[in-house]
Amino acid sequence: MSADERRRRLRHDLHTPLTIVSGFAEVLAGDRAISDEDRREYATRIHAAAIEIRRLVDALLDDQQGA
Amino acid sequence: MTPLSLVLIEDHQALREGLELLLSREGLEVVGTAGSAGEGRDLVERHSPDVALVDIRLGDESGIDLTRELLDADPERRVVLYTGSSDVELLISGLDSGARGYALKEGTPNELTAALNTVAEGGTYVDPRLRPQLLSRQATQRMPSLSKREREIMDLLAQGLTGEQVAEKLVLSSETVKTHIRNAMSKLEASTRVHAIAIALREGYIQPPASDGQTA
Repeated sequence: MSADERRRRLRHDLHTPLTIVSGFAEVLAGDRAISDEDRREYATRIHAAAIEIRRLVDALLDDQQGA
Repeated sequence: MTPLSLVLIEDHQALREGLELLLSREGLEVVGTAGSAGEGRDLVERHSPDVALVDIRLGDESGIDLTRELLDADPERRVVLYTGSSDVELLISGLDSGARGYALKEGTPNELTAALNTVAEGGTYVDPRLRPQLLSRQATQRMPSLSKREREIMDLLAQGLTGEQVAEKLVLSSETVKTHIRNAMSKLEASTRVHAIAIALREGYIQPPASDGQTA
């Protein structure tokens, strides 16, 4: 895989969970009423996406240290 | 008002489920979700949604290739490509595939809903963050390439077949063939079919017909 292709993949992999975080955060911060159940669900999804982002960033940093 | 129907094709399960929730909340009817190109194609064929949202990367598969396949089969389908990349080459390939919309993952759910509504209503959408790159690229842009199906149809027209005969040979409806021809003429900036064939020949999209009159 070329360096450009690796960069594209990394960008895609990082943007995907970030989209979940920003999307649900926007809903939580918005004006519309949200039930407690939905609020918990959205927060759970943000949490899971944040864990995935941390895993991706750790893997990236490990790669850079190994390079 | 009937809600806009949507098929969502995204390989990342958590994002797929998240988008389904968010877009349903925005009033869209998500009639199907898929994690691969094959499943997505089946869903679009089964449900004929107002619009399909297609991730540009579906694991090892390409959302751009899937878009080409969907539009080769029915050019009236409306597809919005969805990507985390602002790579301009990818953008050009995506738009060349016939997708009518190009939305970035960094956009908000409201922006995505607006993009889907615009495309479902027959318009086009490019994420505003990409417009400067697109405009700078257009200054030096080559002519947009014809899709495989458009080339195939122009090739048959160049061999002297009528639109009806092309439709029969390719097992497509006449309307579908007309739409492909219209799209090809638009891409080639041609005013007539003959003009389009001439440009397609000149640009090397199709080969001149065999001089002995034989066709494949």
